[in-house]
Amino acid sequence: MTFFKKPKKLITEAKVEHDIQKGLNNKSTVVQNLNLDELLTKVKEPFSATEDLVTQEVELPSDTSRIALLYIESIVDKQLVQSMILDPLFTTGKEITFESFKKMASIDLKQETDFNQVPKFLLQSNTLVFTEDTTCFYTVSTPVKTQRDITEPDNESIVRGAHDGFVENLSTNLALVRKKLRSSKLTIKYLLLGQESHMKLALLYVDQIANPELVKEVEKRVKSIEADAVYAPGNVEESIEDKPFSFFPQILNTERPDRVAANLMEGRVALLYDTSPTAHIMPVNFFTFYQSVDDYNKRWHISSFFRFIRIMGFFIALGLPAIYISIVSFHYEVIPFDLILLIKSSLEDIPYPPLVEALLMELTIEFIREASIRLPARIGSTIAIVGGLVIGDAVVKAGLVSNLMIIVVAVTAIAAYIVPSNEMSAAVRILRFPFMVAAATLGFLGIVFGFLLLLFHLCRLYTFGSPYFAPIAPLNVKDLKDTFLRAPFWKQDTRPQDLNTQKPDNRNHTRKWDKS
Amino acid sequence: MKKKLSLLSVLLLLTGCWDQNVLNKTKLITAGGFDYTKDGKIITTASVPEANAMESGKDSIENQIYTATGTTVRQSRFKLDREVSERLDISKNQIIILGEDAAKEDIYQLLDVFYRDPKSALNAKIAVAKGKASDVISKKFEETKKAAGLGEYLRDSILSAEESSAVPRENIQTVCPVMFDPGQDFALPYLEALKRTIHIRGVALFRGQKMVGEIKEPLSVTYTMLTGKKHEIAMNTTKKIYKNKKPARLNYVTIKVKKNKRSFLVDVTPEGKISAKIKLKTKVTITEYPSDNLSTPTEVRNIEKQLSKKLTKDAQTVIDKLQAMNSDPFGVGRQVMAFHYPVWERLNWEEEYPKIDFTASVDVEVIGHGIIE
Amino acid sequence: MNSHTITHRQLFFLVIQTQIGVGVLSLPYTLFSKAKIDGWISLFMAGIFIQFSVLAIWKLCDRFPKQTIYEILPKIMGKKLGYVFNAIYTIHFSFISILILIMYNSIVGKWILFETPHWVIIFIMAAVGYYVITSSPREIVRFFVLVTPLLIILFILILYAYTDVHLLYLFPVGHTGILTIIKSSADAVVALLGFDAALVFLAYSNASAARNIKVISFASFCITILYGFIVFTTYIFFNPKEIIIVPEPVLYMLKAFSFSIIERTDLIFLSVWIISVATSFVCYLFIAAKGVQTLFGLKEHQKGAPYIAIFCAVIAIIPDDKLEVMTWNKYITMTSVFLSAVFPIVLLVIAVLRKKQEKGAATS
Repeated sequence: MTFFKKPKKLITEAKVEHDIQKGLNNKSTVVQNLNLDELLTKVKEPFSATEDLVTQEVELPSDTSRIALLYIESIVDKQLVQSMILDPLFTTGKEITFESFKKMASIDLKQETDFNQVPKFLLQSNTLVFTEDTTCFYTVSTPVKTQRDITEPDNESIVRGAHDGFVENLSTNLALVRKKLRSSKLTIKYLLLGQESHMKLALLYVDQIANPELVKEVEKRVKSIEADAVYAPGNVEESIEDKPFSFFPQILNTERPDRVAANLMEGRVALLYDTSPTAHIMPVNFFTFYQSVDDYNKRWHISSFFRFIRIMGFFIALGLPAIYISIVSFHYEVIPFDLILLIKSSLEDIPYPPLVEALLMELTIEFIREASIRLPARIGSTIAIVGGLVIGDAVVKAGLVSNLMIIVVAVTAIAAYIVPSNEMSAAVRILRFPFMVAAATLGFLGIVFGFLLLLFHLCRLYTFGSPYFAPIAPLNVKDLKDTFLRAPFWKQDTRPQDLNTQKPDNRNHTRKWDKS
Repeated sequence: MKKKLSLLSVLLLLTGCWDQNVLNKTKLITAGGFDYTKDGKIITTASVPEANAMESGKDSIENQIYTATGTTVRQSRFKLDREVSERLDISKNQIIILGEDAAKEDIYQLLDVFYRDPKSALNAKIAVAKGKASDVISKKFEETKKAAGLGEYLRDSILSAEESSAVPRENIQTVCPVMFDPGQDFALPYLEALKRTIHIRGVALFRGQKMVGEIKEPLSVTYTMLTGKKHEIAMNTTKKIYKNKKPARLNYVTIKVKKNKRSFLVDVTPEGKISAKIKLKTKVTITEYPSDNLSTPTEVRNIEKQLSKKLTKDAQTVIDKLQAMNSDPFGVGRQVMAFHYPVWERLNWEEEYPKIDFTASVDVEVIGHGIIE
Repeated sequence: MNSHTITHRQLFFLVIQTQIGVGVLSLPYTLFSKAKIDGWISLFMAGIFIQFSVLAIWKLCDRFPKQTIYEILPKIMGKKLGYVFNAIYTIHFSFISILILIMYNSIVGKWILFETPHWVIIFIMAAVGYYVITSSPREIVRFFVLVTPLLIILFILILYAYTDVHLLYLFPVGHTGILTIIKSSADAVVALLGFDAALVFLAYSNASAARNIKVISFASFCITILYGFIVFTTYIFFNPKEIIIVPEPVLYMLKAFSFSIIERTDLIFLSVWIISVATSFVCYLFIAAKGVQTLFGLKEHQKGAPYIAIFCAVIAIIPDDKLEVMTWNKYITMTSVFLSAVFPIVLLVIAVLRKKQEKGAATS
């Protein structure tokens, strides 16, 4: 166990900052008293001989002083360089000096003096402007817009509600969240991860609502990540979650801005990433994974019913094959008489023990699922037909698996996909295998002990200091309004208490007109 | 984590050991019967439905009959087990049939194995058969030829008799407490195998753990009513209330019991004389009255009077029979024990019961008569 | 975050879950074997008696707030004697855990898993117990609260017995004689054990003293009522002559019930009941582990947990036939009644006489 444990070093913020700088500019030295050419050579030093690093020297028409533009071609929009820097310099007449250009040029223009930061700026899609005054330089943000359209995320599609989703661009994503949450208290903190990869991410929370301890904790954990490269949000997730060995997802992945906004207002913290449409929300509890944005746009009875269906789906997906195995091979007494002959006749010629039979079909289903993800949509449906219908039918006819088993497996598979969250669904699908083994060993007793362990594991799991199985354990009747049920909006007048928010009251005072 | 993994792999290796007994490796007994041989050994007859899976989906069921003899029930079961290829299983048994001779001996000795085995089906029906139980079980009935298993058929026959109150509602477990009760006896359905169907003759009465007599079918409904049971879905009976109308069918009326309320009074006089009285208040609807005249209240009153008279007479017949058989299924003794314990302790109930003053009266009220008057 | 305190509501569920355990199944039988059909009266008398024990335990813990029995004992009895008594109590609580394991094993072996080796059945429970007690009391109690709704299933299943009951079986009332009734109430006390968990868990409660006593006393009251209901139900379901030969009347009663979707309800009952057994076992195992911690001066109770779990499991395997189980049952229950129900009263008297009280405790 101890071998796997992450060293829990407390890394102070200053040290992290220092490390990043060291990683960036380990070659550059203090720049002093150099002319422009020398300076340019100097600042280009940290870069290898990459050919997309372009230096463009311009002579201003007004005076003889030279300026030089420095940018990385591949991540800079040249149109922008032209319109934001070159055009103002050349078209506005002879008298223009750099000083006056500064006044009228783009709002993005900033003066910087720290030459150690040069690579960082370059890598963040900035165009740097150097003048003969070598004590400072200017940065203009000219990011290239290689961005797909904002579309609804496929893995979280809904029936009713906003159909926008995050894209692979941080500023667009932030804009989407801001549009949903135009609050002065929405706070965004930028962080950079990876000594070499410099992935930019944003930490979002609503000030005066989110628990400051929580924000601090998340920030601490994120900043403690030390790696040459952090590519995927998954890397971050695995580095900051509480119990890496638990099967259960402890951070909510979503691509929906409305979901992020709603969770922020409940007092949670979100992480958004550049280059990835995935946002992470923390801390979450078990029941968050069973909520869907759709719920809030349906009539509340209907949503409550669907919540119930989903929780039922959890138990069915987890336990149905196990219960089938234990009934068929241990306790067939519990089946009513009129049913047992039916079951018996369908089982009569199956050569395998029920566990093998169940494993065979469960694995087949997983094969089909995995295969259909990888294949293009058109072939995918073919695979589904071949897998689902042909194999299912043939396997029964061949007498390898009973038709009852097929029903059980099919129901289980459907139940597993009821979960709105892909991660939770995967967890449930994995967990059913130990349950099946337990059922085949000890029958009902095995299932009971399986559930005991599972429930207790959920009870002792914490995510970022808040209990995972809240509001069931610890029981908090008030918070049940948005777990098993989806109480109407006018009843949802408090924030979840397990988050220890600064403002537990969310000031939902609707339907006042109805009171008198 | 490593620990969990190793535990898991151990479990994987161990699956299938121990208690596993897979459904498709067993033969389910659905009906069992007990008879005695002349030298007192037990003949067990068991019916096992074997489903022949057919392509069309509808299975046909073939009833296999096995018989074995042994000194005890268990021993004969072991012998049965050796006769069949797979393991015999009793947990889904639907009915136990006791041959007439077997019922007249102590039936607990036969049933002990069912009470003792944790897997046995305690909700199985139990009935007495005229003649031998093996004859009933090995008979080819009309309905069992195709879809129904024998156990299912017999069980359903008894269930429908229960619904019409021809027999009391009992199973292996419900007779058990009564069997042990010195102050109460019980009655079981009494079957007879006809040529192609099963016939419910009535009820077989017990004293203690032995059968002592029977009450035949129409009268057995009165018996069930006297037990104070609430009305059943099909609690019907046809009674002759006039004597001299022609044709004979005009003498009869058919009623359906809607409400049945019993008051049971057991009195002990200071001298120790015990008297018992059952009063029934029965609300009925008339479902058939060939005389076709119910429009006047006087006619209805008249029918009520006649019915009450007839039913009281029937009830008294039943009670007289019971006292003659010395069987106490209504639990007069239980009442004495509960409320007059000192008297009970002094008595020898078996001797006392036939002598007590036990009467019944039935008060019928007609509350409906179908959709015509 | 202080993860060690529990609320008064959680304390309530803790006592309830600890009290409902193996006793449920055989209580009607044990009561009947002595007090005959008046067993239910003995039960209610036991219920009243344990209220005194509960009061004593509460008063004792109230004099030493935020301290477990293991910390209180040395303070009342002096260091050396206190250590001895700590050892006695640790052994006592581990033997209650062992008894739970033994009874659970014998019932599972008798009713569902006939061929499975006993050590498997016992070790699985012990392993679950170990896993659970490696966490803090707060998490354990959360778990107890979580599984409490399952008791409703047990209750409903038993309720179904009322389709076939004979009220007359209860009569004549009071025929057994008051002395026998009182005597057999000692057996009932055993089944109601579980309030003694308060000896340790009161230390974790963050509620006021007045609330604590209300909660524990009410929990014991609820369980007395529930047990009374169960005993009453089985007495009117079975004939007095029959109950003598049925050691687990509750299960036996359920065995005969069948619904249109499920038969053999006793198997369902057993499955749910195992959870109740696990909660009592976990609770006592935790208390025993706490004792081990005190005895050996360990920093955390988790360190002693695996040893105590293995110890309990190994001892629990020893008795292997019914008579041996009964002998163990007899002796352990005898000591339990003394140490859990009677001795706290004695301790309280000693504490009052010697005027032992922790500073800051409410003087009343």
